[in-house]
Amino acid sequence: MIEKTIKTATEYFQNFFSYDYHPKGFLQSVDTRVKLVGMIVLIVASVTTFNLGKILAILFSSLIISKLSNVSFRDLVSRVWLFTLFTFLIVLPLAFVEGFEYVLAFTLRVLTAIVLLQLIVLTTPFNELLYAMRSFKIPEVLVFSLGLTYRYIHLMFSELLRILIAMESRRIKKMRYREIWKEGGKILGSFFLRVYEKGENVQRAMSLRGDRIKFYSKPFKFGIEEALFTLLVVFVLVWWSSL
Amino acid sequence: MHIPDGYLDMNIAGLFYILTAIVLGYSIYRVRREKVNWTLAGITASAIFAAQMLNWPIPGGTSAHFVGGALAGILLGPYAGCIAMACVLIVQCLVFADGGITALGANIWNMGIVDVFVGYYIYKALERRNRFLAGFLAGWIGITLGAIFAGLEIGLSSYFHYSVAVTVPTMGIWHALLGIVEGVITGSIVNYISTTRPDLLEAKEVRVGKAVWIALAVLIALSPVFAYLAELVNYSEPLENVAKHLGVSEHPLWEGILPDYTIPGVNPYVGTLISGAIGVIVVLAIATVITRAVAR
Repeated sequence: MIEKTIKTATEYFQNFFSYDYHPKGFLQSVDTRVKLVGMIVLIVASVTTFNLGKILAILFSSLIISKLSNVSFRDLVSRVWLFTLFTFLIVLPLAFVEGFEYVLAFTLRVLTAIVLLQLIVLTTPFNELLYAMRSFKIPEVLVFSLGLTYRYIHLMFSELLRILIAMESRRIKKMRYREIWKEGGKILGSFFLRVYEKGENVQRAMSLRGDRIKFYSKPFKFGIEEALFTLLVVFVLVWWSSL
Repeated sequence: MHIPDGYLDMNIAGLFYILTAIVLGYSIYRVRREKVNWTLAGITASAIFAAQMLNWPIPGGTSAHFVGGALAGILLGPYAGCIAMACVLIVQCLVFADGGITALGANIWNMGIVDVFVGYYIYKALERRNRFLAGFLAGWIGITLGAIFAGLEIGLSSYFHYSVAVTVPTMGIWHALLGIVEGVITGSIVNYISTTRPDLLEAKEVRVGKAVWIALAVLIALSPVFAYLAELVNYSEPLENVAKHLGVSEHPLWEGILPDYTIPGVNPYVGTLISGAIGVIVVLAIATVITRAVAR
């Protein structure tokens, strides 16, 4: 249980340090609000067509954007291959009914959308996304809760890992499935109790400081990078519609 | 269960964004009005995120993980629970690219609204009888219904050429099996908390009226409608179509107790209904045996 969990978590948490891998580049310098709108437009354009030419045009453009943003191709592939393969296998039986072109187009649409979403993830720090959400008038309770979720993930995971290691160090024989499940239930129960108490403490600390949520919002920027990005998105859309 | 971009039609994705915005907006309003400790929602969301990474071993060498929607509802109440699960799913989408950005509304609807609210009300309806069983059924039925909604959304989308008659049973049956893991974990956690800090679970008690039971009964009664609709659109299994296309036929080693969901000698519609009921009873019996064994 513990070894497999640590392996999963390690793979998962690698994404947290993705910003360090690609610190500078074209997309990183674009205002998050402009970037989000532009990338979502491209995602919608890629998933609303089955025309192979149109899909490949957006996929090609997204790879150019990734190159300009110094996102390594190998890194990008490692993040998108699994779900693309999964999608391909799901729709593969339809090749007998709909033809192989449908299977190929469906898979490429999903691949393009995942590449674009990964580009947002790899080039945008989470706090920038929170500022953007506040600019889009998303309620502050939700945005603040999101901030807390992100901030406490590492702490919660290390807390859970500490409990697991403590359990593992007390174990003197191999546990049967039933014992693992029984112990696991107790572990998670005590984990969520600690979480609850921590949440109450954070709430009290906030109350002591005045209980006011004030969210810092970055001033909107539309400089040369944003203009270039907008032009690029418009160019891709014109290309997309002409195919 | 996270739907990625490209699987849903834009009108279905848009509809679920609107429905999710309405329920999430109302939840935020209720949390503010009732001065619920919403800080807890953010911190519990990060804990659910961590708990989702635990791999629970299943005999046969495989493992399953926890989703936590019903637990969020039971621990925080449905409104703060809904906010907590929305936070988990938004972080998963925007930090880990797990689930698509166009499908985010549908994903929050399935795992952050259906799972949380259904789980919460089932738990509240049954908690006086047996807390473990109430937690188990909340986790199991919550995740299964969430998966059935995911199947509906994907199946109704014209982009994805498998019909509802394929996607709903596939998602529903698969998650009804995996949901047993979710149910046992939810039940175990609730059982532990109720013995050590019962005040946490009692603080949010609400009376469950007859309406919830009636809604559940209506849902069960409506289930044969899907079979009727499948008949109406001349549905047949994709693999059977492929077999017909290739000119191959099946030669099973054993026909099974209820071959093709029918009972030999009985009208096929009545037979399908009876075999469906037998299936539900068998799953419930297995679930009861497992819950009792774990609770002991």
